[in-house]
Amino acid sequence: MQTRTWDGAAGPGEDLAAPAERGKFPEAASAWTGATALFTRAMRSETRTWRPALLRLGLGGTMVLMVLVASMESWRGAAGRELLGILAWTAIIGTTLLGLVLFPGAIADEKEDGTLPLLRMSGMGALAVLMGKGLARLWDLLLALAVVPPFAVLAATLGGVSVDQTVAVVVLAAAHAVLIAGVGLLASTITATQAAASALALALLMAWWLLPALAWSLPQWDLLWGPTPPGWTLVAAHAGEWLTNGIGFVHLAKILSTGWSGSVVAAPVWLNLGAGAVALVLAWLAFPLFADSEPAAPAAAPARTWRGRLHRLLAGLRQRPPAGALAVAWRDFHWRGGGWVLAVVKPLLPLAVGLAIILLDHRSLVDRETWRGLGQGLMVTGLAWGIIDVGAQLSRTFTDEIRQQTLGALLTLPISAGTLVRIKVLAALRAGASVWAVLLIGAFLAPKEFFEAAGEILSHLAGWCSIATVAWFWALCLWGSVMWKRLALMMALIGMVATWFLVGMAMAMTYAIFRGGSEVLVFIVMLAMFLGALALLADTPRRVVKRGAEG
Amino acid sequence: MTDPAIAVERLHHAFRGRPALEGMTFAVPAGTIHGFVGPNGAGKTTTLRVLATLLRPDSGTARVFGDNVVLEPEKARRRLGWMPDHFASYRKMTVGEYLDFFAAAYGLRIKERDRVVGDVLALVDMQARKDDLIEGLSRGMQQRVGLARVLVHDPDLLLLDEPASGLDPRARIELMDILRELKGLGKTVFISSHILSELGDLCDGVTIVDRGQVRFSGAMGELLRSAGEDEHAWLLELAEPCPAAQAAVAALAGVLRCEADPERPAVLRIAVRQDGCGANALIAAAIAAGAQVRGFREELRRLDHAFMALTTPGVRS
Repeated sequence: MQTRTWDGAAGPGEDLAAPAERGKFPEAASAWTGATALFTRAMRSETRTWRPALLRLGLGGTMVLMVLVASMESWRGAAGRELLGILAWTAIIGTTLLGLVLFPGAIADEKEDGTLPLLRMSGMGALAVLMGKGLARLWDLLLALAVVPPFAVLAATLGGVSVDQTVAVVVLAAAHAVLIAGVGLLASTITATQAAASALALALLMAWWLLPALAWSLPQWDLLWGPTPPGWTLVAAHAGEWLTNGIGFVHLAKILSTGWSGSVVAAPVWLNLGAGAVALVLAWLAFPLFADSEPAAPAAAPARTWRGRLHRLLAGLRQRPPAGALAVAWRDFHWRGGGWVLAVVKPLLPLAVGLAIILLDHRSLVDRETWRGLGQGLMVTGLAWGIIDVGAQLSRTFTDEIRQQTLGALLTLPISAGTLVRIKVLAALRAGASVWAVLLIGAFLAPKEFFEAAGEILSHLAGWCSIATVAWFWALCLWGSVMWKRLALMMALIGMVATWFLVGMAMAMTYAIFRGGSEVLVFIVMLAMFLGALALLADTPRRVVKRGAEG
Repeated sequence: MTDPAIAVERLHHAFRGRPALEGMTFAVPAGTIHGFVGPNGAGKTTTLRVLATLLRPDSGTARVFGDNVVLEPEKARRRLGWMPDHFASYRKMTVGEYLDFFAAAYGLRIKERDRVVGDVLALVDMQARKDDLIEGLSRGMQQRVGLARVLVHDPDLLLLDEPASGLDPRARIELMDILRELKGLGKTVFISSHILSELGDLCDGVTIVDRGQVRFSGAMGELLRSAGEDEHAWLLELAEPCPAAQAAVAALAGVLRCEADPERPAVLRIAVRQDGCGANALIAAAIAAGAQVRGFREELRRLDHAFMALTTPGVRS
């Protein structure tokens, strides 16, 4: 039997008179072979780390808590609907958040590690890379959400919801996952870093969600640009309705409504699947333009390229680092936190959205109530966004240093690990400061409501418990940046949700047993969360040193 | 008496029960270039990480200019600069921004930083690349930037882990020149490398480690001397093979052996007792026997030969 060695050299007994055949490289891998190879590699890597398993455990635990809460609420009737509602919202919000963590890194990670050219050199096509990397992460996402269906079936048995509603929820969650996957992969293909890809994916999703609002508002544009053409109103209304129903959250609310009897695989499901597929095709088309190009073009002559000019412009906005440990905060603010550009853009976004709503809603700009309403909206947005933004900054505090292998260089600076952690926390707070400005602008527009809300928070134990929860969330993000790395934000969110559920359950049980006493419990919980946050903060330097020693 | 730049005593460390350092003991005099060589997994990087204050050893002591790296890490950090075996940097920064940042982090004021960054860039010959993004530099240039970063706070001791790996021959030779220049500036350079031929020429001293233990530590000349302690080894190169000259040299007092090199018969390898005849007598005897002498030098081993003799084959289990 003839044999052929891997490099095309002739084996024993082989006809040597076929020189053209010898020395050939193996044929380029097909899209399916390449995708399977990448998928297998991802699965192998995953079996060697405990973090994804921990994440799934966290999600599973959260689901169990929800079942318990729903069973406690069963005395109200329709326990199944209560449970399905909690499950469904958790699944779709979880899919969105986890998807925004997983998919933007798919291609950008390879670019940052410099391994994308190696994959391309193996003859793997753009589609194979996208499918292989995307499928592995989609698998991760679906596995994380695999805890939902069993509990959804349980919801159907508890009553209050039909089997169709249960199945429709699961199908919608899967379609939503495909949309997030497509958008994430597109963003990952276009951008150079995971952070930029996450930001772009979020922006694309926001655009997708705002699209219906724009369609609805088209007929009202006469306010800005004069009368609209005849028939415009009808077309815009249909488009607006169709796109609105396509939003996963909107369709989910309809599925969960009493007496819903729509199709399990309805138009919104197809719309999500279609949008995901279009995004994937766009990623495929964009791949040769963005993913195959050299990432560092401006290095040789920074001043002569547009990237170089932009870099110079941004460098001009930065002042020099201060001497001493604060230089670390300066670097984090300008390179990790987005610097002055993001500091200005971040508060402008909600302001612009608020003003757009006012204009599109035909509200009067001279009416005090309009501005008061805007102020209230900005306060809520600023508060929620500020908490999440600082959390996101903290969750990357050490992740980036570990990834770039720069932690060792920082640990050889003549400062203690504790100082390093404190300085980096300061940088994260500084990067989030501009978002807090939104809250302050809201307070300026609606001062009465601001002081009332502040008074409510500070004068009640529940308010202090909320402050403790934020501290606990931030501490989890910081600690997680060393321990959980890329999954830090997700794990911290799960941790916070789990804490709230535990607190809620404990309060309900205390009330049921003692017919009171929940104030004492809230105080204990608040104290525990503050102490827990402090403990994590104190433990972080030790973890950082350990991580630095590992190299 | 001044403290040695590095003093390591009975250093032990294990990773999850697997021993990495097993009683490592050696010292490096100040103001020298000292090589640190050993096979993969010998404990070089672990030792360097201990010295760089990044890793706390299980037991033993490590001192940098007398400062204990475990008990006084911040004091030790001011006197040392550590360059890891991988290129660790903020790739989106320009060379100038990167060095300015580290200079600031070490507490240097703005005016001082401008001068220092200029000086270290000049030393590594990278002034022209000050405004380039680090991610776009070649590996050799990135290594130069890494070396410049180590120098911004003017440390007395440089810990360099495989600085020449992946560099082309020219870049390696230029790096060695920079290290000689740094020695001239009074710095102590402790360099781990696998490129033994260059270390042999560059280093004043060497420490050879294997399986977590020191096999040799001392002056390079001492290691490379091929003969035993009580004898000298010489190489006498003739214009052509000359048996009469070989016999005449062999007959001199104190000559233990005189053999023609099997591969180059015109070269005589001579072993002489410490108290035996001198170099002049050997050369004179060869000339008197009718040979034409082309060269004469002490026979030294190559560092790679010494390395192979002192280390164990195979990978540590």
